[in-house]
Amino acid sequence: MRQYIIRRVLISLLVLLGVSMLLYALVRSMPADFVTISTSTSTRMTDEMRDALRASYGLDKSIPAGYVNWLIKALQGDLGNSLIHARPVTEVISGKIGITFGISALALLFELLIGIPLGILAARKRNTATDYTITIFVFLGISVPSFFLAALLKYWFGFYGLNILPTAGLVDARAIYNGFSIAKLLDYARHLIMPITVFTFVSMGEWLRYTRSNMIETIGSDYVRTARAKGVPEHKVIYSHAFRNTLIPIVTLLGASLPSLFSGAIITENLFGIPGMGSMLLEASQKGDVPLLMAACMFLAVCTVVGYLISDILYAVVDPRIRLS
Amino acid sequence: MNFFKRTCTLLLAALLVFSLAACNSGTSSTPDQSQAGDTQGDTPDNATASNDKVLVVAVDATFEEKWNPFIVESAYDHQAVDQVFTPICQLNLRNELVPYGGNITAEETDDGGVLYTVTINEGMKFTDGEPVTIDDYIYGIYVRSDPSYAGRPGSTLGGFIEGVPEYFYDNANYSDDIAALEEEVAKRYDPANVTFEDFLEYAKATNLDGWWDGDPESGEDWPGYIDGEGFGEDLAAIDATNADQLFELLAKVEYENYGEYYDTLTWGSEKAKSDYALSNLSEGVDVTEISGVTRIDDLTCTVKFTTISITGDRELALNNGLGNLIPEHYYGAVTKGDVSSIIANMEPMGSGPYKWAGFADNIITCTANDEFFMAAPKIGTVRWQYIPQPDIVTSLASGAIDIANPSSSKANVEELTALGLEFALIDNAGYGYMAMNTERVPLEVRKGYFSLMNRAPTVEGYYGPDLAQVIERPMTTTLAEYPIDATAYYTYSRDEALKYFEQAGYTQDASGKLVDATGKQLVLNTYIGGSGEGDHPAYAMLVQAAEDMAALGGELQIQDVEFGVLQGAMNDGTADAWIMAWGSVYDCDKSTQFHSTGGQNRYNFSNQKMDDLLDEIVQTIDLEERRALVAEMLDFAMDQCLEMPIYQRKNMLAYNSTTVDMNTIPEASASYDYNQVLWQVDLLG
Amino acid sequence: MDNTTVKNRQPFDDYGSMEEAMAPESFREDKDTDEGQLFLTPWQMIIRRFFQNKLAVIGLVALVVMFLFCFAGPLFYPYSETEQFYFDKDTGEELRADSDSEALVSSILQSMIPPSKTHILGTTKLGQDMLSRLMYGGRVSLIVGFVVVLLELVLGIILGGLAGYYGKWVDGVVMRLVDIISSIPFMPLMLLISALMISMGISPRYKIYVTMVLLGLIFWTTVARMVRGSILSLREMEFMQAADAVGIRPRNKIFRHLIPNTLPNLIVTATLSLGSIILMESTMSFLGVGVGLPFASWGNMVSLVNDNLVMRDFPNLWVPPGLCILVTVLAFNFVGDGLRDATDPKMKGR
Repeated sequence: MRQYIIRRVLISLLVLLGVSMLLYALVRSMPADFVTISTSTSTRMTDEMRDALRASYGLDKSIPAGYVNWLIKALQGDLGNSLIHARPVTEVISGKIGITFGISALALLFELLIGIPLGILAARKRNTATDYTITIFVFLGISVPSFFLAALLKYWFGFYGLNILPTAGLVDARAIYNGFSIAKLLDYARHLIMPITVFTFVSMGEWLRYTRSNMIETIGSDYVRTARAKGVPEHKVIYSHAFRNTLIPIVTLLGASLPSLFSGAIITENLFGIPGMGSMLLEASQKGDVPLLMAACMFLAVCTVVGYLISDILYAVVDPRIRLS
Repeated sequence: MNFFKRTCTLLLAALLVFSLAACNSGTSSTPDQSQAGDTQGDTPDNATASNDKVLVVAVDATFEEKWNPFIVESAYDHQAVDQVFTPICQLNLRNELVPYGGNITAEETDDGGVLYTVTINEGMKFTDGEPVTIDDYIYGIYVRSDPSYAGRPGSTLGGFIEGVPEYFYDNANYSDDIAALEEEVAKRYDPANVTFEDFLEYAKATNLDGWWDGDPESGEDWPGYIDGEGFGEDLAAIDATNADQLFELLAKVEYENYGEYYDTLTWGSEKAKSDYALSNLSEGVDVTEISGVTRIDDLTCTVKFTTISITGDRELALNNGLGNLIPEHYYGAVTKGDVSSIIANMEPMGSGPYKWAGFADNIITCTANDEFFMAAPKIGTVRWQYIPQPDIVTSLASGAIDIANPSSSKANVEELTALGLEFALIDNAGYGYMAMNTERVPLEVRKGYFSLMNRAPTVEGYYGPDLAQVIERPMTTTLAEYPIDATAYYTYSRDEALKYFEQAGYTQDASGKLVDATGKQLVLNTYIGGSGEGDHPAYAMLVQAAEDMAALGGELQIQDVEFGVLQGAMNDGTADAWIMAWGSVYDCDKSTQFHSTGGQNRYNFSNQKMDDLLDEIVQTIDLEERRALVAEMLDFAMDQCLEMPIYQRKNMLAYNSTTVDMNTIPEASASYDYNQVLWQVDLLG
Repeated sequence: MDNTTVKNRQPFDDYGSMEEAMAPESFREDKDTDEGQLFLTPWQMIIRRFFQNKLAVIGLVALVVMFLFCFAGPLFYPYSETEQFYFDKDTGEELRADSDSEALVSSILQSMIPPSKTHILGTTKLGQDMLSRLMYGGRVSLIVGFVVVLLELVLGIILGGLAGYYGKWVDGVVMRLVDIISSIPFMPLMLLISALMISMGISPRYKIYVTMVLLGLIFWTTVARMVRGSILSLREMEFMQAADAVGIRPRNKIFRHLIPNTLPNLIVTATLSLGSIILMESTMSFLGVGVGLPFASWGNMVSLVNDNLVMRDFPNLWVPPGLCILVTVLAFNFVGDGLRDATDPKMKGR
């Protein structure tokens, strides 16, 4: 086990190195670099000044040299300054990650709270009207573009519809709160209902589908049949025999959803005017902000790799039949 | 419904607490997230305001969060940061410079330059209590002239302040050296005398003036061309499939047969100058002062310009130039060669009507500076909030925001009218156009393409009759020099277009394709920033042109791209044509665009007649004379197909008239709006 | 982006339950046929089970209708996808794009007119016929889906197959590649690539094809993982060891035994990812990196929902493409799920 983990970690480092090379090459081959974009409207700009600026941003180096430079600094913990925001990228990212994580974590919670019980219900009532209703409902979530759903919600609950929810921003700018209060929290909540609903609705389906098919499988298995034959009450059969087994893969799936907690959602965030990781990534890639883009993407890549690692290890931990080697 | 709503909200709130708590405690081991917690807690709530009135202004793009007077750049960041500082002068309704935090006067000097005298008002104070002195003005010039500041907005390097190049290049003999350099370069790179080594270097750097990128025009291949020039023997001696060897031989052919036709001089002088500048930068500090800037007393200084510049006083006195009074004691003294700590300070402090209170949740908060030299602001707190453009009108209507600038579209005008909201339409100091790269596209083809522009139906279709008009010359109609009676230079006509294309040597072949002598189809690209959705007033016009081009047998590739990509294509010369708009145009000088040395000459246009006309215009004081010259210059620009003028449009400013006291909102123009007098603006009740 | 998280949750294919389920002996298990007299081949059984699933059949019908609409529809409709319509200022008469230039100069673009006899779904902002764009846009969206899925299958099967069969360093290289590709955040990647493509001067007409190839180059990893996992577990099965013992050549082993055994699984994955690719296209178009205008795709048509006033006043512009996407993706999901149930013998109790 320990050997396996060590080997996996080493491989992960290799993978991350590959990811960073590929990303850096891509980011730097953008048609217009940050200097070109940000200086294009200044009439007095000479090429000489542009070059000086490039040198100060480290954009004058060739791609391989620039990469090596980035890597050495990154390994020393210096991820550089964001070109757009003119401050350390760690500061920029940390300012955005809280809200993204908050929303994603809440959405994930709801996905589980709704998806798993509904999945169990659908499995128990298989091929009945209940099952079909749940399935269709869930498939609607999987099949709708998130921005379409977001726009519909904004329209229905916003000014032209019921006019009960704010459609953009995080808090009401007119209200000034003194410190952290319940009122402020409620204000946040009011602004976040729709984004969280969108997140939940489009991602819930996966959990439900997973739970449903696993439950059906376990319900049909021999030990559950035995339990039933023994006369164990139905709800006990479902919740303590069958569901426990279904839980195993779900727990491990959770590990793999780690990156999605931080990546945010470009479109949903943009539509609701939420200053999170998604909109930051969009802006950074449109303006060619190399350090910010590299740092944010690498952070997400690390999350992905760690998530896989956790889920593989968890899988081995919860399922003794799997031996890691 | 109500009960349900409340329950849901409460539940959500509880969960939010949970997740935020989890966020703060669970991840504190990594530096990233522990800071996230701090930033979240960094709300401006504790700032004290003199009254509890809150004005909410919406901006429709996210902030760049560069809260520093030296590096603030986006218009949205500017809106808030500008309120923290006091500039020397402001613009008024009629686009004239008026005294504000001080004044500026100019007098011409005998050597053809100008001496500006800048004074500041007596008794102004920064919000930390320190008095404002002229040093806080001079400070700004030094920061912006620093070598390590190069290239950032408002860098003085490209301007005319005496002594700035010497300070920047850290060499008191800068101008002598450059003159000597020019002389040497003129000898060395004279096309008639240039050595083959230098010529080869030039050829490699420019790919033989771009020729090597294509094929020899005659339709043969490179070896064939070299052979035809009488270098068959040399050709046999090299490996003709090796591109490097072939190129070297080609350079030799060109050097011996056509050397004097290549412009090695311009290239050589640019190269020498940049080498010179780079070598100086690496030495120690020699020049510690800018000779053109002189402190007279606590409230006065003079700034010497080396030449007459129509815009000099604006550069020195306005807040988008050097005009801001920035506290030296707060930002720290300049260490030459390193201004990084100065421009890293993101908590602005100045003497303006409002004090910076913080940024959180995409909202900037500023509170009133009761000591402001004009008067104490009427509204205690002003906040700027990011609202996506699609939500701006509804946010105004629902009362969430007070002032905004919705995009000026037909639909928005109708909707604001229907909702009973106040709005003002202000002429935009600029115009929309389609520009062409004259190096990529021959004149006759440009004329043909211009003849496919059916502008009126699409502009009217997009804006309606009130928000924009088609213009006929590339200049904003807000300028007095615009030739108001000009008529269309190229009328929309497929037949005309075909005639021009035929003049350019294109013919329709058997399959109906429009091809040149070598059988290559006529393909043009045009870049437009419709954010991938075709949401641009000129888009429909291009679609029609593409249909017409296809009907004639050519192809028009419309590249609907992000603005940054458009910029890239325009700068690196891959765009044949692009659609853009000029903004903030306050004078009729088109030199930066059309002059062969212009900094924004993306047309790659170089023409003596145009240069002469442009030079004459800036020296012509009399309006009528200038008008005639401008008309002539614009006609010539049309004839050369540099810019196809498309529309002159209006901007919109909308107010929530149920909250804002409209009596305190001034009449607005392209140069003046409520922002200049925010301290006067009041809310109802 | 939101819908793509699915793609990231794949580490279980190596261990997942479906591979074991596909072991050949399960096919012989024909308890399902209640009548019991008929001996059905596995494929016949799958088809029979599939048609017993109501939702799957509804999905299939919906797909057929969509295909007819998009591919046969334009043959019976007079307007092209890009043609713009104008109307004469004086007479109010409609003008087509190929009318005399003189007439067009003094006309106005027929932007966003409500549905009428000549334009059944009205016209777009650019004065083009909405119904025609809906049909052509559907073609693009569907073709994108199919090409990408085909590409990811081909790449995934070849690379996953090689990794699974040869193991050792081949496996190592392929799987690291898979790891690297699936660790790069998707949306920034697409934004970068799109900018690159434009800078290379790719015409918007062909941009979508290049995009498809690139999507294929990114998404093959899921298939490769799956194929590799299946082969790894199948290699341990008795029938493969038997094949080894008999001395069947490796190539025959792969093509005769291993691939056919993973096929049902692949078909299910392919059907489901058809749906998600169509969603992906719409998301990318919304961000302006998908199908370039003036060419239509459902994705770039439905992007209009971002405009509140369009939402309120012009349902003819956003409801049809939104509905088309929803129905098509839903149908692919129904069919895919039906196929999964039909191919998975553990799903008993029908």
